Amino acid sequence: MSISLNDAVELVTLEADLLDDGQFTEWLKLYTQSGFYIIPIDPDADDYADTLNYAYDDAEMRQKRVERLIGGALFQQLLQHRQSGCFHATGFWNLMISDVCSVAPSC
Amino acid sequence: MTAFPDVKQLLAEDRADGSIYSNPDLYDMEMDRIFMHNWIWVAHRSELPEPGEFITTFVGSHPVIVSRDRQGVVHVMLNRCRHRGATVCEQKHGKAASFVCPYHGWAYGLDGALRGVPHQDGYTGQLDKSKLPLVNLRVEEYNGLIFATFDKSIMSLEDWLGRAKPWIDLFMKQGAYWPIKTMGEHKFTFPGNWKIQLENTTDAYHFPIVHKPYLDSVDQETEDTFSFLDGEGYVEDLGHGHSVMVMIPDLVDLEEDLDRPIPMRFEKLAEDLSKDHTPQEVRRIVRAVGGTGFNLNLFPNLACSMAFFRVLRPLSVNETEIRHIAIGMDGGPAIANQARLRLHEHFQGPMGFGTPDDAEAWDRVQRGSLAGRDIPILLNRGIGHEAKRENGNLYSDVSAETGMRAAYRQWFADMTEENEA
Repeated sequence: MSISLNDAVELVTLEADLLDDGQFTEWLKLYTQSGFYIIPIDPDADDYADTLNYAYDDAEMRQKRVERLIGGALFQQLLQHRQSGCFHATGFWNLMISDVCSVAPSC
Repeated sequence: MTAFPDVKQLLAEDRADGSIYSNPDLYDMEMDRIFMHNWIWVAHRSELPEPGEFITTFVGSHPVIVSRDRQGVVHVMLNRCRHRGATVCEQKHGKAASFVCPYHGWAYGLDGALRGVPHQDGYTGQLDKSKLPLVNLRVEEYNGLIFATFDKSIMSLEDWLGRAKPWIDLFMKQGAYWPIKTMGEHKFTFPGNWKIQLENTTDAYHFPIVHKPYLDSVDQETEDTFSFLDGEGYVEDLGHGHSVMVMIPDLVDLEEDLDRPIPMRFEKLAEDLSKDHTPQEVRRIVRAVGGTGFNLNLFPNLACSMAFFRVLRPLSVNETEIRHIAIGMDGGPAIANQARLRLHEHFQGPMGFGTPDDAEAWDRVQRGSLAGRDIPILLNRGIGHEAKRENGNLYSDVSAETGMRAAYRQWFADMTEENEA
C-alpha cells in the first residue's frame, strides 16, 4: 500500500496548519503509535536511528514535546513572547518515499 | 593604533565590569592574546582516523585545515594559499591526496608542502617552493583531543592541561570497552559574547531554573539524579583557567561500583544488551551510555560536558558559535550508541529540551548587560566557603562560581601578559 503525492501534500498541509495554529494535541493524533517524527540534520542519511538528528521522536517523545510546548514552565513564557513572526511556506513537492508506513516529502 | 582597554579596571576576584561582554576593543585583544597564545582545541582523533583524512575548522578567527598525512602525523595548517590568500579547502571533512587552490592551481600536500605551481617558468627562478608551504601551527594531542597554537614558545600541551588531565581520562571512560568517537553535532550561533558560554558550562546554579522544562520531561529517578544542587557535588579550580564541576559524584568514575542498580530508564537497553554481553559488560556499557556526572571546562574553547563536547568559537564581540558534538563508542554496540544519540537529541540542539532554554538566558545576559554603566557582573557565589585541597586546588560547593573565577584568572593573566594563573 502506498499513498499518492496528493494524499501526502494533504497530510503535510494539515500538519503544518495544526502546528502553526498551536493545535499540538490534534497534531499528535496524526501519528500511529509506532510512528516516528524525524527532523534530520544530514540530508544524505539513510538510517536515522544511527544518525544524530534534530528530532527523532517516538510516541513518548512526541507526547513530551507537546507537553513542553503547551505546559513547560519557562518555555511557555518564552513562547508567548517569542513566537516566530516568520511566514511559513510549503511548496515544491516531491514524494521521495511512499509506502504504508512512511512519508518523506521534499519541500 | 587602537589603545587597548585597561583590563585591570575591568576585573576583580569577585566581579567583572559589564562591558567585558560588549567592548569591541577588548574583543580584538582577546582574539590576539587568548586565541593566538593558548592551546586551542581543534578536533577529536576520531574525526580523522585514517591517513589522508581532514577536517576544516578555526583557531580563533583563523580558518585551518586539520589533516592526517601518509605517515599518520596530524597537521594543523592555515587555510590560506601562499600565493594570493584564497582558502584551499572549503569542505567540512573528507579524504584527499592534496589541497589545490581553486584560483591558480597551487597544490599542497597533506603536510602543507607546496608541491605544484602551474606555469612556474613565469617566476623565472624567483619562486622557492620549499619556502612557501601552508603555514603550520604547533600541534599536540592528549588522549584523543587535538589542540593547536600559533605560539611556539608556550608550555607543552600536557603541562598546560596539567591537573585537568586525570579528568580528561575519566571523561573518556564513557567509551566503555572502546575508544570514543564523534557522532555528529548540533551547531548554532547565539547573539552574545563567548565568555557567557564559557561561564555557563561551569554554572550549576541555573540548572533547576532554566532546565525545569527538561526536568519535567524525564522520569522521577532521572529528575532526582539531576537535582544535584543540594547534593555532595563541588566545583574545583584545576589551574590555567580549567575547572571541573562535579554534579553527580556517583558518576565521576564510570568503572566504579558497577553493582549499583541499573537506572530504570536503561532497563530495556540492559535487557537487549544482555543477549550479546555478560552481566558485567552490560553494566559497564549502560554506565557509559548515561555519561559522566561532571563538566570539565578547558580554557578557552572546549568543555567535556557530561556526555558530549561543547566547543565555542567567537565570531564577533556579540556573536558566538556553539557546537555540541555527540560522542559514542567506536566499535561499541549499535543499540548503545543509538541510546546515546537519543539522549543527546533530548537535551541538545534547536529542538532539544535544554539548549533553547539555555540560549534564551544567554541572549538576555548580552542584552541586559548593556543597561547602565559601571554595574558589575557578580562572580562571588561560593567564595565565602571556598577552601583549598592538599594539591592546592581551590574548591567550593557545586553551585559556586569557582570555575568562572578560575577562567577569569587565566583570562586576566593572558590579557595583561602577566604570570599564568
